[in-house]
Amino acid sequence: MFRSDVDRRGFLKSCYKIGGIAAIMGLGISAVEDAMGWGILPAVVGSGGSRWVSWNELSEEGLGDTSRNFVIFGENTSAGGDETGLGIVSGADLVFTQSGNIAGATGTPPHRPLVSASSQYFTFTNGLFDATLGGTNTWTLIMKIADIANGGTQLIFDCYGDPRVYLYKQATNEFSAHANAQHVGVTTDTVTNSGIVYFCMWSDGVYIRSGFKLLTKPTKWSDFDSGKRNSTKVNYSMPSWVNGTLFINNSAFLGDFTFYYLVMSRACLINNSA
Amino acid sequence: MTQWIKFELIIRPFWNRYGDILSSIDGMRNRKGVDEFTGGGKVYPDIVNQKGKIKEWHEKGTVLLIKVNITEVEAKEHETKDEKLKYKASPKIEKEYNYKDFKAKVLNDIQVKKLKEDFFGIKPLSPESGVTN
Repeated sequence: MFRSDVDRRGFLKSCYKIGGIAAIMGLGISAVEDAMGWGILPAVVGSGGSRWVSWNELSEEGLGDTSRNFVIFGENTSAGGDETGLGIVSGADLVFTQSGNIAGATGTPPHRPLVSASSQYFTFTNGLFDATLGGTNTWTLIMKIADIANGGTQLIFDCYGDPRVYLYKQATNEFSAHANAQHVGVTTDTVTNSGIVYFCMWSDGVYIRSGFKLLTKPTKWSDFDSGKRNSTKVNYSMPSWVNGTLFINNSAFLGDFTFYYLVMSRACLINNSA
Repeated sequence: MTQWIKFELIIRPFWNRYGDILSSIDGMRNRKGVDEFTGGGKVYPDIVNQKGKIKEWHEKGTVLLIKVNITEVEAKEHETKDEKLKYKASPKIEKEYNYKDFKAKVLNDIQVKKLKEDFFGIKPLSPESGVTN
């Protein structure tokens, strides 16, 4: 419909001038998100956190937006196929490139198994890192997986370079999260090796926190049992990406698990006050 | 007995909601019904599905190097195999290729060592603080 984003931006700007917020809202949620992302509309219509709370985890569209959130499912049914997410970036920055001939997705919600023996992992772009985590003190990482193997260092999410950000299961099965040395959280509880688990780390500009939760989506600090969470009081703005490789499943510390989705946001999606 | 074989993998294209292959995804946001796209990835030779036989796997871009538990004669067959095949480039487009397109090459230990060091950059990775094994 529009030759470029510039045309669409101009159109939305005109709509806002003529009809205000109502005119933009009348064009649908994608127009609202674009208008917010381009600074035409103030970001008041649904915060990143509230979308996370109400999201049913069944579609990328329910959470991804153009101003804050990126989400990627393990949903490509072709073996050896890459994954394409939805959210704050565009083009190649939406793509997670697979290695190792990862089996195609099955099930509802869809999921794909990653097998260490076949050296299976995804890599993503520094453009995505910078759009979600870089240059902000509010951000969130949430990875939903299942059936992670017992034992072995398994770096299931790893920005391996400068800065260094990771979520992993230690060889002794505790969950560890690291935000460029500003937060190093290791749980006392161990991660079960069967069923759904959410690995999370987030920052609200006051605290960097991390934890894992079994079975159901966490939305607030108290959803994490005391032995499954850690907190560091620090207001830290994550730098932009300098160099290194960005992985789901670091090729040097491979895990065996089933991948459901990854959320990266430049908003704090977990409620720290509840 | 194990053999090292190097393959050139075939790149799969991205395609749009109509199943048409895209020449570029630049600027696309993957919005349902607007500019959604999917696909991508690589086509692998069938031998990779013989999980029990593969002892090592190194992959970078379109280059795959595997150490596989087969005889030298079986390995050499991959270099000369001439077989017409198809892969699904999108839901409505099948593309033909030949097994020869994988450019299979059996490598000796010296060639493997050089490829590992020069191309794959294989050296021990030192985990940073907090990572223990």
